Amino acid sequence: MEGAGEPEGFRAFVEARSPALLRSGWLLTGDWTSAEDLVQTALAAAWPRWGSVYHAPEPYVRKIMVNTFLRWRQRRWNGEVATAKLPELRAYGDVFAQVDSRAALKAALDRLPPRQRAVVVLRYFADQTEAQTAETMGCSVGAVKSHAAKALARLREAPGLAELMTGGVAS
Amino acid sequence: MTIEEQRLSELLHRLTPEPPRTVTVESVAIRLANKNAPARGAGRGAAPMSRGEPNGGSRFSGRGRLTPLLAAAAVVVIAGASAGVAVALSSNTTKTPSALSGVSSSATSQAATVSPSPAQPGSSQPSPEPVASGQPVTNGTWDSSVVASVTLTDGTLVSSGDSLYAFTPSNLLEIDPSTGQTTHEAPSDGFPGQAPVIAGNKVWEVTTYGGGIGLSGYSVQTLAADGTITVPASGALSGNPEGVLAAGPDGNLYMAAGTAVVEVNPSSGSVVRRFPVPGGTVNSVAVSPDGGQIYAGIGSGLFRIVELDASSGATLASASVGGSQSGGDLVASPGGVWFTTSGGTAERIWFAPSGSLSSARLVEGPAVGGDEAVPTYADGAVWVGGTKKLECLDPDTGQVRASSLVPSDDQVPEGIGDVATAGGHVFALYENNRTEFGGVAVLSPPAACTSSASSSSGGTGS
Repeated sequence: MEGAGEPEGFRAFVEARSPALLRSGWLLTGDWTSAEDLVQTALAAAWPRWGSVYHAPEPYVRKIMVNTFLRWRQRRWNGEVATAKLPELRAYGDVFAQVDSRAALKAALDRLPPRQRAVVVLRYFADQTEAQTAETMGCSVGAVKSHAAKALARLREAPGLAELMTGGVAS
Repeated sequence: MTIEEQRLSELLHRLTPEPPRTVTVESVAIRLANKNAPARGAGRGAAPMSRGEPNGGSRFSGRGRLTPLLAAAAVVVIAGASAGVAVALSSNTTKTPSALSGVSSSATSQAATVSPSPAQPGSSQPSPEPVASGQPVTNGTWDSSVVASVTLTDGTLVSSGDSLYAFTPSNLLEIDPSTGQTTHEAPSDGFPGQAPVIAGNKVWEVTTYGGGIGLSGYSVQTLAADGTITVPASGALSGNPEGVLAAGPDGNLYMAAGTAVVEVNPSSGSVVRRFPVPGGTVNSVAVSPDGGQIYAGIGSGLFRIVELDASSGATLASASVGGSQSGGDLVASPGGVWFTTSGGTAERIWFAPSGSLSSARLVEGPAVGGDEAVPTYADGAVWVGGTKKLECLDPDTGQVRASSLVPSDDQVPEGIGDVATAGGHVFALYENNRTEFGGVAVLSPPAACTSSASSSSGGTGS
C-alpha cells in the first residue's frame, strides 16, 4: 500500500527490483552494508524524479548506483565495518565449495579497479549490452570494451577463479 | 559474448548471494528526509553525539513531520530554522541568515582565486566569517563539529570565497558555512571521480569524458547553468581518469585531454594552449600555485608524472612514481606534487618534489583496515584525511606538521575527508558510517598546521 506522497509505482519497483539491485551492490562493494547504502542512495535520488523516470526507472537507478560507487572510489569509510553474516545458503550441494567459490569471486572482484568492476557487474550480472553499459557509466562503448577486456585478463589470473571460469572446478 | 564471458556471467549469477534483508520504501523515505535535513545546529545547548545513541533519535526528532514528499522543499524551511540559531550565536555576522540569494559580493570577487594562498605567519589575518554552530562530534578530530548535515560525495568538497561546493550523487550543492544552509542546488550528471573546479566565476564539472570531453559551468552565485565547453583531445582519452580537470592561478582551466594537457579560457571556451605530454595518455593534471609548472599523470602502464614548464611547455622532469599501474589525483603545492596510488582498496598518498620527481616518497597509507582520503591543499597546508587519522603536512617539504586520530564509533570508523577553507575557517567532509550522520564539519586544527615553521609530527590528540 502506497504511503502519502509516495510516487505511483515506486513501491512496486522497490519491492520487485531491490533484491537484484542489492545483489549488484554487493558485487560492486563486497558487503551488504555498503550495498544497502548504495541502493538506498540511488532510490532516494530517483524518488523526486520519479515522474520523469518511472517509465524505465532501472537504468536511472543503476546509473546513480554506479556513479555513486565510482565517486566513492574505494575510499568509502567502512573499512572496518563488520560485514553482515552471509545469508544461509540455499544450495543443497557442496556448501563448502560454494562458499569457497564465492570467496574467490569476491577476492577477484576486489582486485579490479572500480571502473573495471562496474563494467563486470553491469555487463555480466545486470546483463546490459555494451551500449547500455556505456550509457550507464557515461563513457564510450570503446571504453567499456577496454575495461571488460582488462577485467577479464585480471580475473583470469585471480587465484581460485581461473578454474571456475574455465570450467575446471564445479561447485 | 565469448564462452569465457558467458562463464563469468553464469558464475556471477550463481555465486552472488541473496540479500539478507531488503530495502523498503520506508527506509528510502527516511534516507531522503535525512539527506535534506540540515544539522540540528542546536549550538551551545546541543549535547555531543554519544556513542551507541543512534543520532536519528535526537537529530531527526522531527522526522515524523518531514514527509518524504516534502523533503526536497523542506531543506529550505528547516535550514531557515537552523540559520536562526546560527545567527543568534554570531552577533558579528555580516550575513543575513535567511538570505538564500547567494554569496556575498566579497565572495564573488574572490571566486576566480583558485589557488589558496600560503599562510603568512605573523601577518594579520582578516577576521574569519562567522560559522554555523554545529553539532559537536564526540571525540571529534580537532574539535570537529558538523555544521551542515548533507550526504556529500567523498572527494568533491571545494571552496571559493565564503562558500563551499560539493557533489551529492545527483546534485551540485552550494553550502553557506555561516548558516549551514544549502543555498543553491543544481542537478548534476557529472563524470564520476571528478571534483568540481572553480574558475572564471563558475563552478565546472566534467560531464563527458570518453568519445569527447564536455564541461558544464554553473554560476558561483546561483549555480544557474552558465555555459558548456567542448575540449578537443589529442588521441584517445584515458580509461582511468583520476582528476582530469584543474584550475590554474590565472583562472584558466587545464584539462587532461589524451596525450596533451589543454588550457582553456573558461569565459570564452577557447583553447589557449596545448601542452603535448610525452610518454602516454594523461589521466590527471595539476597546476602549481604560482602557475609555473603543470603536472600530468600518465595512467597507461606504470604510473608516471611529467612536470612541464608552463611558459615554454618544455619537460622539466619525468619519472615513474609510486610503483603502481593505478595512480592519479594530482594536487600541486609550492614544493611539488602529491598523488595517490591504489591497489584494491589500499590507497597510498605520495609526495614528489618539484624537479626531482623520481625521489617521490610515501607520506601516507595504506591505512590498514581503513582508507585514505585524497590530499587537498588549502590554507597553506596539505591535508590528508581518512578513517585513521587526519594530518596536515608542509606543502614545501611534505613533512607532517600535526596529526590527530579519527575516532571510531563502536568499532565502525568515522571518516574525515577533503579539507577546504572558506571565510577563514577550515572545513572537511565528515562521516559516521554507523549512524549515517555526517556532512560538512568545521575543524580547529592546531596553529602548527598553517604555520610555515614546521613542527614535529607529534599527535595533537583529538
